[in-house]
Amino acid sequence: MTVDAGPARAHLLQVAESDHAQRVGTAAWLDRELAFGAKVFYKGWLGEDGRLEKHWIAGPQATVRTRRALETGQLEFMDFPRLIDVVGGTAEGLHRVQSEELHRALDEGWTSVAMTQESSRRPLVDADEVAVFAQQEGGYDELADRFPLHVLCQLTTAVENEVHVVHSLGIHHRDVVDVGWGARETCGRWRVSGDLDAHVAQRFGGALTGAMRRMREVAEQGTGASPDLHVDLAGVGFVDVACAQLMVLAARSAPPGQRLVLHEPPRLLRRLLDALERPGTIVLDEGGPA
Amino acid sequence: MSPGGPGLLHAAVVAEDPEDLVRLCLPVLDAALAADAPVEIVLDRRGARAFRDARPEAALTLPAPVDVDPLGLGHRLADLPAGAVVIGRSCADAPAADRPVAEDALTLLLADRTLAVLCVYAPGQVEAARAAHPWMLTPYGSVPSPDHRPPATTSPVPAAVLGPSVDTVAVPDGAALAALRARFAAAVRDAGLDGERAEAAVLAAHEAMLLACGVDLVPGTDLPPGEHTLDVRVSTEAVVAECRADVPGGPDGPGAAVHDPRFAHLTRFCDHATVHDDRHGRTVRVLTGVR
Repeated sequence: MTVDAGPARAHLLQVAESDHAQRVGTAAWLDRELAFGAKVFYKGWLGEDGRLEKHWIAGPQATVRTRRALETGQLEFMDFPRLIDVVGGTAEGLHRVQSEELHRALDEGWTSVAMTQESSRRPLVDADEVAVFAQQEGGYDELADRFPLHVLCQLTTAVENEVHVVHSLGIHHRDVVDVGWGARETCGRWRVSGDLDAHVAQRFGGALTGAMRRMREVAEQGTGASPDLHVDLAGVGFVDVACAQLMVLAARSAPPGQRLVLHEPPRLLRRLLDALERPGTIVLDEGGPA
Repeated sequence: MSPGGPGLLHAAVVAEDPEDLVRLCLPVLDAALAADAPVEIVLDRRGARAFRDARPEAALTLPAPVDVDPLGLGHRLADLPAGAVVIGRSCADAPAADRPVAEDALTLLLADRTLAVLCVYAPGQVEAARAAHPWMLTPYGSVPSPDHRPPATTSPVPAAVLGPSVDTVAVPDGAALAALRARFAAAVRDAGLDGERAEAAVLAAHEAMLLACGVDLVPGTDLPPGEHTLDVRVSTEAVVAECRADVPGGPDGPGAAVHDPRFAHLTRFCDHATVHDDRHGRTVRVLTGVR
């Protein structure tokens, strides 16, 4: 997997199914940010002995540029246990640390800043924890809207429970690179690409639910925006029964007044949705791009 | 009589000569004689004599092979009492085109019978023997035949008429579903299908693997890890995705698959779909015509 193609992404969730795959993607992202002259802050897990030289970014899995950046200070690493101490275990504390790091880097003359963190291994046992998680991620969005900041959140499914994975996709639905599929919110549309199948259905479902919820929240803020979710499927090559059913379930569980509008669906999706008794709140727009 | 429990033991015995054949068959034959079950030896004079010499006191039935029509064998054997053993080479001597049909008919028609049907093949016929029998009788007992493709109980089309295998894809987990689709799509293109019909065939193959593995239709349920395989068969008439999952006994028990909603869905995207459950797992075939 690589994320170093195309324009930089402000707040990207990179999903991988193993540590190795996560490192490959993150190594490419790090190298790109460092090459473009960003100051990079990395939050991750050190081993039991707490030695940075044992972490992969200090070893041969990272690029020469990354290792050199660790020496020069362009790349700073912070161990998660220390981060938890510093932030006091609160979303506000984390936001304060993010903000301080950002402003320190800009004051030092760096023209852009990048932040990444490894899978946090938080179980997200209840709604309160999910809300705190969402608040923390919202802090990144707020900073990225105002400053030249790029954020890469790493989600390794092998080390997280299902609840964490689903909520993480929901919170990050605006910019996701997953295994075989991805999604990005641009120009008022949620643009999905790749193959949507049973293997990624749970993650796609989490992201779809998050996207539907966000449209409702925006509409409820009195902006006059429609709560309809417009999904651009032009980049999707395959949808199976499981993912089509997720679309049906998302539309059925949406409150009255919210529709799921599917633009440029793959050829077979209409047949699939009809087989699943497509509700009237799923609208298919098979015309050209808007 | 079948290994591991009641039911049909339909096994091939590949033997060099009558003496070798007797050595291989004696454990099964002796077990039947000990249980007072009938034993039929349907072989030529030399073969029948070898068995008679090995067990001179036993009440063996020795009909002449000329009296047995291989294509009607299943109906005839269905009348035998439980526990009976039949040793013969009627199918092996049948014309090559009839042989797999006759063997698959036995596998299907006698599936619920407690019988041992031991089909004698010459060493030069070993490939045909493996392909047509769920079991092979060896010096170490009965072992599953790795090359056997069971006919589907929902639609008993013998595997031999589905066309030769052109590709086999291992699908060890859900991440490999993408490779299944890519490889099957290539075969579909090579077979001359394109457009929506080709896409539908690929979707049907994908869903067939999920059904073979017993993947619940509840979204979020992934393919269980295992030794699952896609076998792509192509003939001048059709392209077939044969998905085999090693989930012993079938994921939900025999016959349950055709009531699975996923089966109803995948039948919308192919011309014909079949499911076969056996003690080793489930096979789902989806067929799309190329004309």
